[in-house]
Amino acid sequence: MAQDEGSAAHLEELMVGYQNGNLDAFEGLFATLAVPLRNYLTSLVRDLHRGEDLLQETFLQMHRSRHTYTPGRPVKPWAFGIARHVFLMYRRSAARRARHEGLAREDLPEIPVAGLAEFFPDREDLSKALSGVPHDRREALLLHHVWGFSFREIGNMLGVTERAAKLRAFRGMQNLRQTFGVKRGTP
Amino acid sequence: MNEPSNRPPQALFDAIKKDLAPVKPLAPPWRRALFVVPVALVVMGMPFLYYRLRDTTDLGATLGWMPVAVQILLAFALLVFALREGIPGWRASAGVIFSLCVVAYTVQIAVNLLIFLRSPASAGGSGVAMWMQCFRVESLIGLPMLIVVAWLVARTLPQRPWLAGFLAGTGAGFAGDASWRMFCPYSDPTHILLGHTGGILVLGLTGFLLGYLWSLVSQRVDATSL
Repeated sequence: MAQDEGSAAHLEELMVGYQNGNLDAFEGLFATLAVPLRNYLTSLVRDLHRGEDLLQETFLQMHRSRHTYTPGRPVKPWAFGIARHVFLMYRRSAARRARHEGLAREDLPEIPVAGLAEFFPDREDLSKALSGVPHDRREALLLHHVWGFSFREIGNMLGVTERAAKLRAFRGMQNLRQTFGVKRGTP
Repeated sequence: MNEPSNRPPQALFDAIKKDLAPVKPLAPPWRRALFVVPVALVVMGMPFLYYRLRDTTDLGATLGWMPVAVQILLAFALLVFALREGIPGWRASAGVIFSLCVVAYTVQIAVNLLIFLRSPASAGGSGVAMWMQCFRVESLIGLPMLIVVAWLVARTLPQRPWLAGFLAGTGAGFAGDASWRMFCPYSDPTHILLGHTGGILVLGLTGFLLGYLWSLVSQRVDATSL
């Protein structure tokens, strides 16, 4: 039976193929990972075009470092770890950049917070609210609620404990709630 | 606005296609740390050629060879964590690393204090010369191990090269100290802190510096190569 595209096992299979020099496997990886990585990078740089540049740089870096992937381990945390590395390198080399650019509306991820969706008037407001969340909290919030990483995986990506990752995401969510005036216990 | 494509851009695709070749995946960090073992055996065995093994009859097993084994295990753990830094998405938290370093230093200092209480031995008038010698020998034992781990880390993608270097240097320092303690006859705290613990710290700082310099160089190389 064919594995679901994007499933962990399918990604592992593609990654092993890529390590074996299979070009189709690279295309498969790109097709599966480009969208979440692009969204992740865009959420970090808050610039769609810069995010696109960093996406390409991420795939180049993945190519250079493909030997560092250990077969049997999940591919997504590895790929997101490289994307984060690329972002940090970019941030270091361009220390001062214009801020307040905001997330692109089209690429803004939906945050699946049950019962809260109706309190978000539109994506513009969500974009502004996310901009107001401190960087480390926003990153943990998006990694968990949007891209579905476990807090353990987020901890391994960010170099913090599982508990700290959970706390960052929780506080990020609190910031969002405060921005929208949603009190605790509101459906 | 154009919808972003899920196919790789042509330039990226061509670059990957041109460079694509099979690669061998890295072994897990603990297995890669075993690469250090042959080098460690050689350098840790070197003092046997020039010095006499310390008489440990007054220390017994609990303060003799057992702490050496514990310290070597802690050193190995530090080297594994250094190598883990090079695997994207598999970084240890600062808390875990800090705790490991604290445990390692505590063990080293506590063991030496207990040895001093059980069997006090001071270098006397030649104290400075003696701690300089211990400092030098310990650094010489640790340096080759640090170089091997640094080489292993440099083949990966460490996000915090300075931290990887620090852990590699500290691990190499603890391994060096574990073996050298069985030759050094002095146990007074000043000698231990300056000659032995100081040697470990300096190796850690050397690793830190190596990692920092490497990060500066690798940024430039990354900017110019595929």
